[in-house]
Amino acid sequence: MSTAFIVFIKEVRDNLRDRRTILSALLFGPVFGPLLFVFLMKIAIMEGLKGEGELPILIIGAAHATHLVQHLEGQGVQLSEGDGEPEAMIEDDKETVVLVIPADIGARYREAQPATLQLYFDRSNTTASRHADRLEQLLNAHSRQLGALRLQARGVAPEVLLPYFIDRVDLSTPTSRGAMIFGMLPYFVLLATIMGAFYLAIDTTAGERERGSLESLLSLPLSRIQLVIGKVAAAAVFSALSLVLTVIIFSLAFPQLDLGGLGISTELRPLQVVSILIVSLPFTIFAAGMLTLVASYAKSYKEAQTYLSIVMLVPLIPVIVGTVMKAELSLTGALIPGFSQHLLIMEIIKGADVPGMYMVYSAGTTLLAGLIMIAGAIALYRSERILG
Amino acid sequence: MLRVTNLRKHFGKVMAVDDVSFDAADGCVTGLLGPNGAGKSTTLRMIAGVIKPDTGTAEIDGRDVAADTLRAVSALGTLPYNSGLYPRLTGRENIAYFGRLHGLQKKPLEQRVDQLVHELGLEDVADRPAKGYSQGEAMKVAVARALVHRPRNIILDEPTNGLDVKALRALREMIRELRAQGHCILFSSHVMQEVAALCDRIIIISHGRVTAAGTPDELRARYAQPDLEEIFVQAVES
Repeated sequence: MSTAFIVFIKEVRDNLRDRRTILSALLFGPVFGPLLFVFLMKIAIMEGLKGEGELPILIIGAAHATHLVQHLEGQGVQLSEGDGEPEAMIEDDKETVVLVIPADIGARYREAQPATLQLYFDRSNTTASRHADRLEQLLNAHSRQLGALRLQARGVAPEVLLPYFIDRVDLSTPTSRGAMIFGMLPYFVLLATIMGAFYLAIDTTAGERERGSLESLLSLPLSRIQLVIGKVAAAAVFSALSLVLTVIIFSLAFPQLDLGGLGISTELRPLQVVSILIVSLPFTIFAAGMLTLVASYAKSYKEAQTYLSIVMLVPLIPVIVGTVMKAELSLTGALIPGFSQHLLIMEIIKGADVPGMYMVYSAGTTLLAGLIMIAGAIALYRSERILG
Repeated sequence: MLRVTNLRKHFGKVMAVDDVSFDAADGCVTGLLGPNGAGKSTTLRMIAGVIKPDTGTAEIDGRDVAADTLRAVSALGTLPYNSGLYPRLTGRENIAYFGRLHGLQKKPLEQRVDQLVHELGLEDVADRPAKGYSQGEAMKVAVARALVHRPRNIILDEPTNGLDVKALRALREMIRELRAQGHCILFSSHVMQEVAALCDRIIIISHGRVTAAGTPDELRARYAQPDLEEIFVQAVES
């Protein structure tokens, strides 16, 4: 049996008995991640449906334009009469939207002149902002109707004011609409991959030194290269375990979102699940190498924990930025560890054919970066400073 | 048989070990005595091949440790200052892990672990995780682990630190037993009584240098002083 294999078996067995490692590898990523995701999605969907709800508006000067008030009430707007300064009313309740009708609206209408309606609201309040937008749409529609009537009264066809119609043809498929919802999935998958190896990497390096077993271990006749490979391999296996569980649980949890009614597909087909695993697996080596290197550098368990919780964000930052900026798969993107997995997973979820070359680039650069960090850990274990 | 010759090691500007030479013979307990920071641990680490000397050599059974580390340290067992056991592994698993890393095969390893468990009286605790051990139990398992590959030479770095009376007694008995079996034992301590109670030869080291060496009787004669404690103080201050 090679030294690396002996070390690997020992670290796996030892860490299977560690509650912290097990919780982070088997619970944090695979269970907590999907739960949080489904919960966030449910909220987002409910928020999205809010558009159809009530539309309460405070109106000042309703008596000046009774036909407008009737029209808005006919459209289902809950108007209530207000009196006073709009600024003060919004100060009292940020969700308030105030519509002010000027006293001269009747006179200006008769002269066929535009009247100015004032809409007061707080843009930083999402509810008020959405209500104001909906009210504005209703007012614009009404304004267009009145304009058309004026033209007709003067013998002009209202169509002259409409050089074009816009006909929106939505080519998104249920799968690609699902991809928008799935946007955060790669983040959770990569996070789970890192968390799977997190505590094991600390336990086998900084933890071993802190407990005093490292010195005895290093005085044995064994190759330090093999020692580090055994430790990294154990971390990579826990990382892969967490990855596989996470992706499987996601694929089981998504249909529970029940978005069929919105014309969104959230089903992950078995081939997609396998593809996601294939493009993500090289990242387990990267994560294991990175965590082992940094944890070997730390002087104590606590210090390693602090370093790692910062370092683990490094490959995730491009993913978060990419999600917000809706980055598309590109050659540069396919070369960045972490980010490339994010882009490839997104393509797979969309149901697109992923170019094989991009998968090779992603795996190649991710493995290369992982191996460089493993080489760094080996160099550290061969130096005298590893004893601290 | 352990031998160090003109060993030197510095860390930054500090000369931790400065031209240290001594022998530790088979069938003999050699005590490396010195105050904290005298260079004892650094010397032992160089013998164990964990760090490399700047100049000079450490030999185990005539093999240069720096030149042929893996083969040289195969003949060495080490007991660190704390037991250094893996807390979630059982005593038996702790011993077997080191045995496997020394290249022992499955069957002979199982037999060897059983033998050590029996000889050290660990039957009741060997299958429990190490984290629940008393100091004495942890120390015994650590000794078994150091002996698993039947090394001729054994290094103990401050083994008595923090041990209670019972564990201390058991350790002394074990060291005497190992001497009777013909092992070469090198033992470091900063407490003269510990060394005087066990050692055939005493090497006093201070500020990285050997300041006195010999059997207890030789030291008493040289310093014209019956009290070893007093000799230690004089040797350290000289």
